[in-house]
Amino acid sequence: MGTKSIGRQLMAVMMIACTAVLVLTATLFAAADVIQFRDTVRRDLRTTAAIVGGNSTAAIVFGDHDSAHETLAALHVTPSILAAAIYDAHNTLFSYYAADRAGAAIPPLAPDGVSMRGRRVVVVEPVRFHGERIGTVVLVGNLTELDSRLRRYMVVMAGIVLLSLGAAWMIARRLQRVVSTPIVALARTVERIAARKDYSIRFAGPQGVQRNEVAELIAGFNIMLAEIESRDANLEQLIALRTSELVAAKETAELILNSAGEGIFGLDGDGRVTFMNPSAAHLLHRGVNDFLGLVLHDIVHPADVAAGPLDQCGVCSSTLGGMRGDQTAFALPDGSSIPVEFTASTMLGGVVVTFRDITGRLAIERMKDEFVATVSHELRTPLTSIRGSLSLLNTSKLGDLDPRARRMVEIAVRNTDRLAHLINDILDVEKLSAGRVELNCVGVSASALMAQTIEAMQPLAEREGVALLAASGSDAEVMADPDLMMQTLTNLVSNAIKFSPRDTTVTVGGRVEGESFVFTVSDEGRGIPEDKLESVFERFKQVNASDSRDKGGTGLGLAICRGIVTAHGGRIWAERREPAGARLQFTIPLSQAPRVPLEVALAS
Amino acid sequence: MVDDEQDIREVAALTLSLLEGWDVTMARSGAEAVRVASDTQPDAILLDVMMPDLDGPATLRILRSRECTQNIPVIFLTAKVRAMHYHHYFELGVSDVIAKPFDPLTLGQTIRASLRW
Repeated sequence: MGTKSIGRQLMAVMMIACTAVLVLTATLFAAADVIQFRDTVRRDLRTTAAIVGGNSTAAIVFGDHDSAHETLAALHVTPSILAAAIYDAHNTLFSYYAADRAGAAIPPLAPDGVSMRGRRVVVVEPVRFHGERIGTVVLVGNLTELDSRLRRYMVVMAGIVLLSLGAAWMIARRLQRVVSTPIVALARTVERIAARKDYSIRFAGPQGVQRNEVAELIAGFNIMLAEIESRDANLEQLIALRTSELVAAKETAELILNSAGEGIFGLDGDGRVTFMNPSAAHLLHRGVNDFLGLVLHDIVHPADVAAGPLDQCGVCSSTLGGMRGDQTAFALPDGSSIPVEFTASTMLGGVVVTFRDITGRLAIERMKDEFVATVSHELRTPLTSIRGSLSLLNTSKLGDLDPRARRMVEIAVRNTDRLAHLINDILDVEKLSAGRVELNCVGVSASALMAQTIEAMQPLAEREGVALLAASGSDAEVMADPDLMMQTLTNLVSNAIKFSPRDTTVTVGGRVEGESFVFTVSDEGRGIPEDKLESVFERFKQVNASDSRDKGGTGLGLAICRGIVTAHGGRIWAERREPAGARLQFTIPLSQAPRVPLEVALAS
Repeated sequence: MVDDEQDIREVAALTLSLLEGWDVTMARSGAEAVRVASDTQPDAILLDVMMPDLDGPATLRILRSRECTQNIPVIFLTAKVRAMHYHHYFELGVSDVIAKPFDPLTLGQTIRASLRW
């Protein structure tokens, strides 16, 4: 439809314009003719009325009715006159004429002049004799001749219009081709380009197209095609470049995935395996394609592990979101399983699961635990005998010793104690740093912990001549392992006492700060140098290298305290006091259990 | 006094008899401990935790399962762990846990305190 309608439209436009012009012209001609014809009829009637009046003058003057009647009867030669009448000076009917006796009435007297009523024309003309009015002539003519004249006229005009339109159509047909042919050809070219997607096609156009808008359109169209073609070429080059880059990146990624030591699964949103790297296949004793398309959740968990529903599965769920990791076990084809440590990351609507076999690591951990326990036992067993024997020697129960011998035994006892202490601390540090301390956390009163500490450390304080006091402060319930809290507090207090000169004070106190309770142990001793406030919490990093010998410490106490506090989710730090002394502080989270109001607690 | 280590048995026994004046019978294994305890009906048993064959907890279970020994108080001696880790020993029903190396001078005192003598 599209390609032909432009020609038709042009034709239609031209034909409508021609028709309108022709019809308008014919109508104007017809109207002019009607007006002219009417004037002619009126003029003729008036002339006739004047002649009738002139011819009837004598008849009226002499009252000769017959003569007047003859004059009127002569009017029958003019068929357009329907009726006529002559009135005398007294306006009395003198004589009349009617072309058709049956229908015509005697025309009545009317004022002078010409009047038109429908198809009738009435002319009233005075009759004068020597300037004096002696009567009136009334003529009634009709315009029926006008109708037939118009009919003829219209037939002629219709013929002229049809002939003209025919000529116009012939001319328009030739003219429209000048405009429409190039446009139609252009449209065909566009169709061809669209069908073949071939932007190298150019529109040649009919030769000798005139320099007009259509020509410009064609030129513009060709320029546009050239631009599209060159852009396509650039785009293709770019796509080729990007594709090769992508291929390289994909190969690199595959190489990484394939050579990764960790097992890697890719899962889609439904938990189906989309890829599995060789390590994963190797670790699970499968082929790399064994799991493709299968729901990992249904096959990876060993029978003895309660895996739960897919959307709750830490390994396979694509809806849990984020990045999560844990230890679990994966099933092997023979029904056994391997312990694994996995990381699952939700990405692009699916999940990437990486995992490694931790059989070896667990075995090493177990061996290490066993080794630590064995070393602990093996070292302490001989120490127990040594310590016991020396202590017994040191009493007088086995006979009195030479004072120098007693002194030697004392030294041996003290160093045996130090060695035992050191073994204990090393084991504690090892366990804390490996994160293998089980916390038995309960809600416990902070002030009760401090009171117990003071009670336990009072003998040492008295021996050292140091006052050990509880600072007034608030109380709160903390969430902590009471034994470990006591170990921490006694460690800090015994440090404080050991580094305090006689007759100074060590204070234990605390306060609530935000969601934590802050325990504080302050002394008035030599303090900690600014540059060692942090390092004192490291293993064997005492302020002075000689401290462990002089003060009987192991150099591990504060490292253990930091390990315990960190395991509770708190932090520990040291400050200097002015003018002298140190303040050790640590935070422990408050118990989240709702506080029971005192009166309720008492009532129950 | 039950310990697989001869030296420790001797030191402990000598300490308690010298300093406290108690009669101390020694056993070198869990099995021997059960037999000796049944025969001598001691006032308390000092039981080493880590022994070959029958260890401390296993020996304790046998002692508790026998009518003639089920009411004898038991105190564990251990070189294995420290105070912060031996909650579960108390759940087995021991009167106290004493860590090795112990101080012989206060050993008797500690036992008396645990048993409320």
